[in-house]
Amino acid sequence: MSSPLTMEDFLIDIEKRAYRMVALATSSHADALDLLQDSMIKLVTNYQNKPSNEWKPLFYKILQNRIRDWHRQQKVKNLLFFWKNDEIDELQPDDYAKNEQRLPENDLAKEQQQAAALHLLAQLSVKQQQCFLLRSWEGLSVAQTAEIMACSQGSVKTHYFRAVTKLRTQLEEDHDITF
Amino acid sequence: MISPSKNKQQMNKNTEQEIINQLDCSVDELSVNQLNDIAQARVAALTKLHARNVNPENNIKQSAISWSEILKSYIVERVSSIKLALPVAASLALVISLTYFQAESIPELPVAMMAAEIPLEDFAMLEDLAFVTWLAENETSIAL
Repeated sequence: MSSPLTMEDFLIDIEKRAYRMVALATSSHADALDLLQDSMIKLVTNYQNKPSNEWKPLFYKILQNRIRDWHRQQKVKNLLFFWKNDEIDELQPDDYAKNEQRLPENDLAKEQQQAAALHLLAQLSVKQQQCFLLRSWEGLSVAQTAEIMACSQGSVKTHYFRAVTKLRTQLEEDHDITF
Repeated sequence: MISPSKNKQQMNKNTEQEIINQLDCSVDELSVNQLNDIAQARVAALTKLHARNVNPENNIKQSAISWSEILKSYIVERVSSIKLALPVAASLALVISLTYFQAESIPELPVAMMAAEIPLEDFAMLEDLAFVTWLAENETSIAL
């Protein structure tokens, strides 16, 4: 991927994948949008003068910090208000398959497979999930992922390996898919 | 023949590729509402960027302004605390002084002054009473 020239181009290029990453981490559309917007604003206000090739790791570092903060807040919230049942707009497994612009050639099996894959990703621990997404989907190096996730390179390798193994096992078990 | 470890690696790679394909598909198939929301988030961020670019002086003067603002806010805070503290202190002083004077305001009357102010008629009545008592005592002693 060539380096984006402007901040707007960069954000357009990255926003959908970033949204999907946060949505998987939070399971909430509204929270995912909040975190995404916060991260974008922080990048734009603090790092616009940095070279454009540094924006991607910086953006994901901000995003990961936001996700971590969000999970901490949720933990505290759950401890303080343990009797309350959170009524957030939680994304259900079926939501992943929702598509208003369905193409006729998209068969049901393929759609179900997609929903299942995303659901399995959502079932991973946040660290494994984000590590997998950063390494595999975003194509970041082990060193960059370690820097973004604020952990050692060894931890990144472990999270990544466990994530892939879990995904493979689950896909094979639940949906009888063999690779 | 492929070794078991290499086979596992290959399987993991295939899984990874499959999941990535599904992720790409899911991003391509985001609903219109989701896309609009994401675009709004981006526009909000870019608006901040444009606002900063339009007024770059704001960023340079940020530190100078912040010092004066800090000083101003400190003074305002002090003044407001004085405004609140003054009436509280005044009312406290008033309450303390009132309780002090109330305790001291009723001095004990000196005995001499009390004696001096007893009316003479009362003394005369006491003398009469003493005379009547003496007479009664005498009568009882004679009767015995």
